[in-house]
Amino acid sequence: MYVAKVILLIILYMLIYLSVGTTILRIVNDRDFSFSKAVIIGFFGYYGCFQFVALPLIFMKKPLHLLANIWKVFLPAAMIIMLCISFKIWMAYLVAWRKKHNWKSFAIWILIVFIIVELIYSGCNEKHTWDATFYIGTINTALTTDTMYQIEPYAGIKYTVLNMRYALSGFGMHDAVMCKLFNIHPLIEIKLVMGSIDILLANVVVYLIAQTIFTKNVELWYIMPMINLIYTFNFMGTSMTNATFLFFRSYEAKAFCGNVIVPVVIWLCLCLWRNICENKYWKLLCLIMFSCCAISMSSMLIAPILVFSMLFPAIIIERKAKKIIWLLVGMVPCASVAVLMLLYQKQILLIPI
Amino acid sequence: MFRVIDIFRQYGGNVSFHILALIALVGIYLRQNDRYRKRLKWFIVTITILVFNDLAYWLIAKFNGEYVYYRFFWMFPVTIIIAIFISSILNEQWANKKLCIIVISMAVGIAFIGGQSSIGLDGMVVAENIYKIPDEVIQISEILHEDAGDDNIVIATDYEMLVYYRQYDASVRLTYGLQAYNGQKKMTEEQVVIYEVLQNRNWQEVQTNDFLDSLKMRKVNYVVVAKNEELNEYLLQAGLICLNKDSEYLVYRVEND
Repeated sequence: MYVAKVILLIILYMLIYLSVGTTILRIVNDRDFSFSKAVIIGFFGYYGCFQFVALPLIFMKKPLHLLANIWKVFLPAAMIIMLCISFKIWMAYLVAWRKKHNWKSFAIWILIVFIIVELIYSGCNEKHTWDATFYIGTINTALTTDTMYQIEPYAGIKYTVLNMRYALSGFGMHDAVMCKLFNIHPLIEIKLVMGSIDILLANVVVYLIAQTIFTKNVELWYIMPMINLIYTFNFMGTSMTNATFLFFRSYEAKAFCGNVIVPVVIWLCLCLWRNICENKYWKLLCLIMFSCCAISMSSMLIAPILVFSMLFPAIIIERKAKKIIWLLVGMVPCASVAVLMLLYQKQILLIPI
Repeated sequence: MFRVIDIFRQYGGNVSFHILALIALVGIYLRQNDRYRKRLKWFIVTITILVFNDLAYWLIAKFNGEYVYYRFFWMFPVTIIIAIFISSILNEQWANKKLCIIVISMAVGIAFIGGQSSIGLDGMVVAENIYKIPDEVIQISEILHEDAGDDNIVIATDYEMLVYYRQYDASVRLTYGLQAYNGQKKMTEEQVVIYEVLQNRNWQEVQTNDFLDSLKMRKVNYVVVAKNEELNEYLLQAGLICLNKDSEYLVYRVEND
């Protein structure tokens, strides 16, 4: 029963990401549509939207049920509109996809089996850290007390001020909202549903990178993620590697940072390395830079530094000075969050509870 | 620069894939045309100036804490770089299927021989239930709510249960949380007394009356602790009532006046 619920929720999440992504790709006028691209972009778009709604409510110290009620109305309404926009595009893409890809290809099936094994492995593995106590405790506390980031999750004692280190990211509260809407325990939502989502997205990003680098060799689009997966499985020397996070702590925001956000940024920068003038990729990059802080506060510094290091030299080499504006626009969200964090750490910006 | 190199060495541990990825990066660089070589070269220079040097390490450590610096190595996606390098060899030799199979076999062999699978880290622990927490946590929660209803429950417990309990049941408050992880830092006098008995098992040094008073001062109404004959005797002597005698974890009610 629970397993069926978990699988249905994973499918639902993927459908949401796909719809949001398709809509965004249409808005930025990307004619090179693919399901994988739409899912990844949709993931960021979705949490970006949620951040817009959640952040003011968190700062105003509103109860969790208010956010859940808003999302209960907003999400189905938005989904209906997005599905109407997306359906035609999906059908057309499926027809084209069948012509290009060979379902009988050995590589596709091996990759699918590998990913299923990875999901089962991660899903069955029990590993506990104080970080898990904090993250899952935060969601569970929010659900039990109908508050958002106002109660310290380790012991259940009220904070004196809003914990900005986490309150600036709506990602955790999204889990709480979904637990409320679908009546599931946070441990199941976080450890099984979000853990699986991280693993699926991590593989999709590598597939996208393979697609970008090896444009003509379709088989390599499947072989490269497979090689990556084998090496990831064996890169567990310490608890610091992104691979260890993926297999043991895939549900944590940090795991999303190391396994989804960073590779997505690299993928988009590779697309821009190919053609720095392609505005649609700049727009998508700005979206990702906005949403990455909503997903993981760890990416607040990592994502902008990576983008700057990859694209600033490319802009200079190509002598496209105007593109620096895009680069700066992309940096604004992370810089703003960094400033807010700094003010909080220096005890200048404190929101009493 | 040396501190950063040290952390990079520690990052992969016994698994030298991060070193392999550096070699792969050189391989990728050599396979590119001038246009991409230039980009790659300046990317590495820029990121080294911005992050991978001791000054940046010091700044990041000051702003974020030094324990988070390792996350910046995620910008160097080891496994993806290796996968790109191997795939680029395959791409070049695609017509020669035999060679491709040899390359793939070698790559897989290196991964398994040179790597450390997740099983080797701490050993894989298979989850006991769908919640992926020990069964005892669920049982304790049931006992507590059966006995107290949904009343204000405050428990004192040992380290292992602290990690798990509020993930499953956040309606219960604990008498101490992260302080236990930080080795009693910032604990009140009463918390220290409770911690000494339940975690450090130094009950011989604490009078039962003092322990009971500390529990009452902290408004603790239940004690949850792993089974131990001597500790059990001590807690019963202190006037606590055991609610389950046959489990691995025992739940005691504190009778508040």
